[in-house]
Amino acid sequence: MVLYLYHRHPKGFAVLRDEIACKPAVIAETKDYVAIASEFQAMAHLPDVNKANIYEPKPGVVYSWGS
Amino acid sequence: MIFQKITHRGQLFLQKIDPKSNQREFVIKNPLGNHALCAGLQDEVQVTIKGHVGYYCAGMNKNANIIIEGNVGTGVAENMMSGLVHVKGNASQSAGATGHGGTLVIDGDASSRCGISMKGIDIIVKGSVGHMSAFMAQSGNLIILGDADEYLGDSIYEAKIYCLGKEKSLGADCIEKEMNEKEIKHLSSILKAQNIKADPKKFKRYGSARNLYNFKIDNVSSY
Repeated sequence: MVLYLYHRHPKGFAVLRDEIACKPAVIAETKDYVAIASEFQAMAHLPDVNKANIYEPKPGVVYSWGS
Repeated sequence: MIFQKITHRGQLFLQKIDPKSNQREFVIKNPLGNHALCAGLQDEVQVTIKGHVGYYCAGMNKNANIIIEGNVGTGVAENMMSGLVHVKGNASQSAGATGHGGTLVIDGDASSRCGISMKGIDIIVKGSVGHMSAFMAQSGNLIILGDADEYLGDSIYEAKIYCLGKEKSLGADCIEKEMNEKEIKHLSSILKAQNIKADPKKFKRYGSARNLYNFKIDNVSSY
């Protein structure tokens, strides 16, 4: 279970998942932060996570935030 | 507090409902992404989970009616036998995998391998599904109101796929089939049972070309 947290910052942040979606991944996005983890349990205690937009990244697609 | 871990005389509570008890409705609050919630329920109970859950929620369900007001992790309603599982958010990979019966309704999107090796379950996804959905699906119905990603119905047997949107590509041995009156009626009855307003005539149907049933040396590259 891993969690990476990105507070909105000009330097940016990107996520790329393996091509066959072998590795589990979930993204939670709010106006304050973006969190990526292998499962929701890792981010269950983040503030306002229940109001976040939570989705699974598609395989081989780059999701990026910031510049 | 995780409801399932409250034990009753050393046994799991929801999995072992007292047959003399009239209480048949339960609510689980703050699931916090825990795994295997409501797995192996066997009685006719109504369970509402308020929040996001982890892996294998409602697995092996028999008779129970489970509503998840949030997102679910990998393998929701895996190997379900009967009953209803309704996910009001998005589902992760392998939703409804190997399901023998019952109905799984997902209001959001399902990720890759939705309905993998399904064996009689009805899966209705109101959003889109990921790649390799209905992989090796043997029987049952996968109904997609959105789009499907690559390799839809790869190596499919006799399950039926109905898709309202576009499919990115079809898998090995999966072909588009005729949507005749019988199929429209069949799809209509499934949609009606779940109060889903969609025109069955607009769906496309996919199924097996039945070329990979028996080993043929000419098809070796497809295996």
